[in-house]
Amino acid sequence: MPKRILRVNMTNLEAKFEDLPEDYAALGGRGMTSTIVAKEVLPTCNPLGIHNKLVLAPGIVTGTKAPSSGRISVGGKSPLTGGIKEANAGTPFSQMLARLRIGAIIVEGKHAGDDYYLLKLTNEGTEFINANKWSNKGLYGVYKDLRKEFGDKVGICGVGIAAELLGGNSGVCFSDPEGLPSRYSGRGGMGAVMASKGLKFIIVNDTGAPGVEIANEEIFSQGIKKLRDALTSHDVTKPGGALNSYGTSVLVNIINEAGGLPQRNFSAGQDDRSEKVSGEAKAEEIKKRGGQRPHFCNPGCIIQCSEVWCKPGGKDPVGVLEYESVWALGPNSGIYNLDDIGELNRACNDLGLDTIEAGDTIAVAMEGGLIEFGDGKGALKLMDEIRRKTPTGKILANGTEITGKVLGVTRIPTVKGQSLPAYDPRAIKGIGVTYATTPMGADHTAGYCIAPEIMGVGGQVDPLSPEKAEVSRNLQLATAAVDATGYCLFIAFAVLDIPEGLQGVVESLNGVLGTNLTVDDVAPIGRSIIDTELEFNKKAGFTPIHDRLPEFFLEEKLPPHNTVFDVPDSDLDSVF
Amino acid sequence: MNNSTISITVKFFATLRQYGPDKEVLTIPKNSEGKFLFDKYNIPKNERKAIILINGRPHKNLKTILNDGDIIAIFPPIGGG
Repeated sequence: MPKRILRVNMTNLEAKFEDLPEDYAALGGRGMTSTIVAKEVLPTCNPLGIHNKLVLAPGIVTGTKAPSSGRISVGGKSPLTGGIKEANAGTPFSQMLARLRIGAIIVEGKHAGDDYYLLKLTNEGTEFINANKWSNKGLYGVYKDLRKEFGDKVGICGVGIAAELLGGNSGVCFSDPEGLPSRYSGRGGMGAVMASKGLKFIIVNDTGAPGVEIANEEIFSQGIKKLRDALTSHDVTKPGGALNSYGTSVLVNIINEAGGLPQRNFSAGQDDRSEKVSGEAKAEEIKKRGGQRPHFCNPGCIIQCSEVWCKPGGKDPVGVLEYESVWALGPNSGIYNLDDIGELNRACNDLGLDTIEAGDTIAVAMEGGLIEFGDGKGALKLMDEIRRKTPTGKILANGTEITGKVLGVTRIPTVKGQSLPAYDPRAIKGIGVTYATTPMGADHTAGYCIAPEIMGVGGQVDPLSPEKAEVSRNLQLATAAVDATGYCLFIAFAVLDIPEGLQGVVESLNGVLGTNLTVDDVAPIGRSIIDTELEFNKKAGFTPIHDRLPEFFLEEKLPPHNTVFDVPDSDLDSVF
Repeated sequence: MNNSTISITVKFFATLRQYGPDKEVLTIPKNSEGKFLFDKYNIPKNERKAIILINGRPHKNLKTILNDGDIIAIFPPIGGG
């Protein structure tokens, strides 16, 4: 069976398999989604209208034995940014799609009427099932019910109440290995795109699937061995290393110490109370209350940065509390209590919200006087407004920029309509260049300058120096390439420092594809993906003035370093 | 503290907390280098690939001379995002 595209037409509820076009053969993940979106979606379309499409694509090596490679990319035109979007997540769902030899699912059209549908996908074919009984409900209960109905071996992709509201803050939610709704392609409102078409869930079961075709087993095995060696030996990614021991929240303390952990809606970069919600504190608490640490988001991951946070006594598992989530729902909202943060993260997962956008939204709502900074219980009540679909809830579900404007807030931390992640660009300037210039809107993963600026990985540069155009560009190109492979971006910590690891990555791609790529091809692959995205955005109306940070980052000094974002506009324009 | 000593604050994080305190104010000889702290807390050689922030600025070089009032935060190699 050759690799296929599954085209899902929601207008007439038809799902058809097509052969993968030859020129898509070497594409995967972000390379696949951005290519298809650029080719098939009108850049000027209404993101929630008939002309937008939702594209899901596993990576090139996803579904194989390659370590830490269970990523899925979700693409389309974003209702949050108005530009092209790719958001990725780690989930068994992606591995199952790949084993069924599905290179991409393209969801198009729009179902008339108010019904929601579930698409069931197995080796035998597809089936549409009315999903109204699983709508207008929280995803924790629904994912449990879906596993009861379809078996606990299925992978689930779904959207929640926030997506039903067509909120610009609504993610696409994937199940983790235990079926929790905790793995999100969160950013950019892609959940609303899916819901706008009348599609609520995709259930996949790969029983009897043929598996991923590997053109050259020998090269493939050699490649993944090199990568495995790099991941198990590098201090950041190895078992028992900081990421494995404390999860991504291990960053709370270091970014706080560096003065770049935004507090109370980006009004300071440091607060001693942040320690209370650090990775160290969380790991200890997880042990005490019977959660799980480490944990993997997809089978075959070596790094295993994930965890399962729960209530005391091991009750009511939430899933992972990532660094970005802990920060957004914590210090940026003046909240320094892991129980409150855990329940806010649960609410986000349950409602289908991106945690970064939700936390930034709560923070501007606090600044706008809806509730006080630090009011965790009040923040949970705001989440309940979304659940009850009240007018306030509908505003909040549209994210930080809209909420800020409605409430008369001028300090709104967004680029291209998408809210900033957990690093203040006044204290760590390279990441600010990435926020400003990536086609995605403010997105740290697009070019993670924190690695060389703070961690000394892939070089060492001064975080306060404004000369960052080149470092951001190089990381953005490398990242676009990694996002196409299906590998987790965290492999970069190891392969940026260990050349054999990067060689192994390239060999694993050659093994699957039967190509002769070299390490020198990585940056050009990334460049071609980003060029495709930039071209789409240009046609959608983006100009260089959209590649800027909000004015307050240039005017308000951030304690403790008391610096502003001073990267010249000409440097920002020189990135691409 | 006298003319030949300085006062600094040292903080250890993550896996390095098995060797050093979460936070401690120390009086140390003037002109001490960053390395002094690694020796004081007996940090094993294979754990010295640390990230050191002095007053919030990353320093790779353990030979940096410490000054009175410095806050030194010491982390193992860290990643995330």
